[in-house]
Order: sequence, then C-alpha cells, then structure tokens
Amino acid sequence: MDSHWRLYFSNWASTLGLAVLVFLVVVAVLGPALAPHDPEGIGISSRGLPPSGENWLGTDELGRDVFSRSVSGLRVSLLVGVVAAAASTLVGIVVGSLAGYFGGVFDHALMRVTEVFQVIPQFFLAVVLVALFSASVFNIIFAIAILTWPIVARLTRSEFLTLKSRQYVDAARLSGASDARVIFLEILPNAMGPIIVSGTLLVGRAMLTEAGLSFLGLGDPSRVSLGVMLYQSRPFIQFAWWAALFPGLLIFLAVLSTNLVGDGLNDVINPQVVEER
Amino acid sequence: MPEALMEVKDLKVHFPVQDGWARRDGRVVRAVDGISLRLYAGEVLAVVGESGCGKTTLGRTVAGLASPTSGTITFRGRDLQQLSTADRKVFRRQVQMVFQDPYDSMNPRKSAFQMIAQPLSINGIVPKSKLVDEVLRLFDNVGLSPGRAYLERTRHQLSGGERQRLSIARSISVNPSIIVADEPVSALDISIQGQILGLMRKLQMDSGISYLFISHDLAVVRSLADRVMIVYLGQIAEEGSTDDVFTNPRHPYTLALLAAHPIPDPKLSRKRIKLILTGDVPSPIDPPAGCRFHTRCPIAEGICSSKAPAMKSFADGHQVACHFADQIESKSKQIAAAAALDH
Repeated sequence: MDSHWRLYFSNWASTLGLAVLVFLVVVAVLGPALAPHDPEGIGISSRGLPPSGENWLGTDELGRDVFSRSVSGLRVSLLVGVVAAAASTLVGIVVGSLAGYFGGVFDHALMRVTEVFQVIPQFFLAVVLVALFSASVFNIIFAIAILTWPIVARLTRSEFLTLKSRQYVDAARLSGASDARVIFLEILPNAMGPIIVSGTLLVGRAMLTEAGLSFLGLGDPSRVSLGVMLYQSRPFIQFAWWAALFPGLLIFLAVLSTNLVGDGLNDVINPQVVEER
Repeated sequence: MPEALMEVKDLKVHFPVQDGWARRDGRVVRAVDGISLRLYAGEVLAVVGESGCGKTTLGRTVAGLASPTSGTITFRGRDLQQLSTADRKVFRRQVQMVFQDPYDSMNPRKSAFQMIAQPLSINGIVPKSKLVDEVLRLFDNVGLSPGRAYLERTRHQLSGGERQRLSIARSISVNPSIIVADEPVSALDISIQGQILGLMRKLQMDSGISYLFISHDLAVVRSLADRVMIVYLGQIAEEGSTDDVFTNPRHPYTLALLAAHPIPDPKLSRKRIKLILTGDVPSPIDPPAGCRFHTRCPIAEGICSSKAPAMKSFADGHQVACHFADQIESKSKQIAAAAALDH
C-alpha cells in the first residue's frame, strides 16, 4: 500500500485537497469546542458587525457570530454529504452487483429504473421530494441518495459484467462457492476501486445539492447548514457581505477538496498502476 | 468395454445472438452442436480444433459452468440435469478445471494460500486446524517448494509456471475424478510447457484422474493423450486413439491440421500428404449446409454441400464424419499432386 500513497502524494493537487479536507473534517468534528460563541445566540447590539477580534468573521443580521455558525454549518453540510453519498453508494452496490451478476430480465428491469432517474432533471426532482416530505436533514439525505444511487449502480454493474467472466470467478464456482460468496468475496473486492472514487465524488456533489436546496429555502430550519446560512444572509448581502461570503467559501473548499481527493484516488486505483506494484 | 466415467450424448450448447435488450432475432451461436463423447477412468481425451470451434464451451459445459441447450451429460451413470441441489454440489467437486490463462485464473486480491484453502474449506475436505498442512502438501505435490515461501504470494509475485502449478493444485485439492484442462499450457513458455505437462502426467499416474484435454497444439496432444477428438464448428470430425488419428488420419480436416504442423525431419516431412486450408472458419451462427467443412475442404464434391456425412466407424473405435473417409488417401494424394504441379 505504501507505493499507492506515494503515487497519491506525487500529485500536489490531490495532496492539497486531502489536507484541506482533513482540516475541514477536524474543524467540523471539533465544532462546538472551537466556536467562541453560541451559534444561535442573537444580540440586538451586535447586529451586522464586520469581522473583528471579537467576531472573527463578523456577525449576521441577527447578531449571531458567523464563525461559530459556519463551524456548525460545516458539520451539517459534511454530514449530509457523507451520509447521502454512503447511502447511495451502498444501494448502488447492491443493485448494480445483482444486476450485473445475474443479468437477464432482472438486469433489464433494474437498468430501466436507473434510466428513468437519469432522464428526470435531478435537481427539480430533489426540490419536489423535499417540498413534499418537509425539509429535514433526513429527507434531504434521502432525496439526494434517491437521485444518485443509479450512477453507482450502473458503474458497479459494468464492473461486474467484465469481472464475472474472469477465470478466477469460474474457478471459485468450481470450488463450490455460493453466488453470495462469488459476488461479495470474489468480484466485489476487485470492483471497489472505481466505486470508492465515485463515492468520494458523490460526497461533493451531495454537499452542493444540499446547499442548492437550502438556498431555495428548502433547508432544514432546525439544523443550520452552510446552504441555509447563504439563504438567510442573501437579503442583507449589501450590509453584511461577510455573512454570505464565508459560508460560501467553505462550501467551495469542501466540494473542491473532495473532488481533488476523488481525482487523486482515481489515479491510484487505476488497475494498470495497481498491478505494476 | 468398461462403463464410462462420463458420457455426453448429442450435446448442444447454443447462445442467443443479442444486440440490445429487446432485440432477439432468434439466431443462435451454435458453439457446440451435437457432440457425443465418453471419458473413461484414468484416460486422457484430447479435444482438438481451431479457435472458435466450441472446444472451450464443451469443456465449460462438461464442468457445469455452462448449461446445455439439449443433450445429456451423465456422470457415473447419473444424468446431471436431474441431480438435486445437494447432489449437484457433490458432482461439482468431481469435475474440476484448469484454465488457459493462469494469471486470470487467480483472484488479484488473494494469496496463494487463500486460493487453495477456499475449495478445501468450502467442501470441508480437511478440518480448519489442518488447513495449512494440507495446502503445503498440495504445494509440494505440484512442485512448489519450499511451500512456505509461496503461502502469502499474490498473482503478480509468481511466474507463469508457478501460477499454473497453483491452478493445478487448486483443481486437485478436492480430489476430483475428472479435470477439464482448457489449453493449460498455451499461455506458457515452451520450456515451462514441458514441466507442466510432466506434472499433469505425474498426477494422472498417481491418482488416476481422467483429463479432458482441450488444445490446439498437436505436439502436446500427441505426447499426452490416449484418445483424440477433432472438432470442427461444434461437431466431431474425427475421433480415435491418438496413434490412429495421427498416423492414419481419415478426415481431410485432420490431414490439414497435421500438414500445418511442422515435422522436424525433412525426409518424413516430404513424404507427408500436404493439404492446405484456405479461408477462415465459417460463422457458427450460420454454419454451412451439408458437411460443415465443405467450404474449405480440398476434396469436397457435390454431395458434401447437400448432405451431412454420418459417422463412419473403423477399427478400434476410430470414427470419421466424412463421405470419403474410405478413399481419403487416394483423393488427397491427387489433390496434393495437383497443388504441387501448380507451383
């Protein structure tokens, strides 16, 4: 594995991406401990203050500390991104591997379902889903996962289609391995590379979708994410630009860094490179 | 005649031609189209033919990896199609395979130990505590020594010959009675080929395993096989003892295959009848009418394109599917002489 990491770190962009991502995750995890103020603490006298020694990133229109709110908002955004990507990857793996391995009618049926998802404008569907089922963090995660699992499913399926005709798969069958064993122990480990890459990219995509939904007012009002902060600070951007700029920058950094990490992993996991160890 | 270990009767394996999920036009690839064979205990039956003639499909079907479209496969007198799930599992162990590409037949994420231990533990061949000992014994059996040095290696840490030795170890680990060897040496260097063939012969002597040996290499076949079956476009062209087929071939296709194979001795080489094949193997989707070989056969006549030849039997179980099997020598000599004049 050493040479894998060496290869990963030979790409300065993905190295930087990983550093930024690790930093953001640490900040998000430590969250409340880092925040100097109560993220929900309003104050009439402290409304719309510019960045200063007391409020590092200024305060918003209700006098809440932007830095403290950003830290907890980052926590919600990352949580949505990671959980949504994990859920969609998990569903995609199960559906894709069954479709690819068993083929036939089952495969056709599942692939038509994924095509339906691919022709519907995704963001529009997310808006409809969240608007229908009320805006909560859980529903947002659910909507994002529903929209993105077909990507992973098709990817997994295509990996299975090529891998299932490998001779080692036949050999495992001759050894008496059950279908479940062949799918999960013989084929899936060899298909995981591209799936991990796409899962990583999905994290960034899910964060963007969440921010977009929140910006349209469909964010969870009780769990403030970066997108919700953008939405709330928009009317006051002329008086307190800092309240919009910093959450926006954090979204930008988080999405960019996950994409860079995904790209770096993609280079590492490239099968030719792996075999040449 | 002793009872055959495995008997295949009129086996057909067809694959539907599909372009797109909704378009099935009823055409099929006739990979195996009516092959019958008997495999006796302890013998080596070679299946010889060009690429795409269906020999790999035949092997996979016999090993239970592909399903027959029609025909029967009986193992020790029992029809495989009618086995219960439990019996099928037992059968699975009896017929193992050694694959063509030793690299591709190893899971890239598994060590040599895991590769051999898997069939042992799935089938409960040895208790868990004896697993390592048994794997080492199998390593030793196939000439991988010192065995301990190989336990943790993965496929890219092994040479081609070592990989194929492992494949053989895997196939014998469950004590099968038949091993289907699908071109087991064609991916190896010539010096390694000899070692692997020697190993296969040794294992056969030791444990009396039968081989269904699939190959296109006539030299390899001649050195290993008891009987030979020549296959063309999913059907048998000629079948008989290795000696009969090599020294007294009666099918023009066999003659052509032998002619394509160099003989090191120029005197012998000059004496041999030279039939040269032209063109490619026709598509198994739409095989020629009559005798399948007639489009490329140098001695074909009118009857060949209209009527499929029946199997003709000669001494010692030598069987030939050719209208002119009786007159093959005189006919092919004429053709070869005419060809020589042209030059």
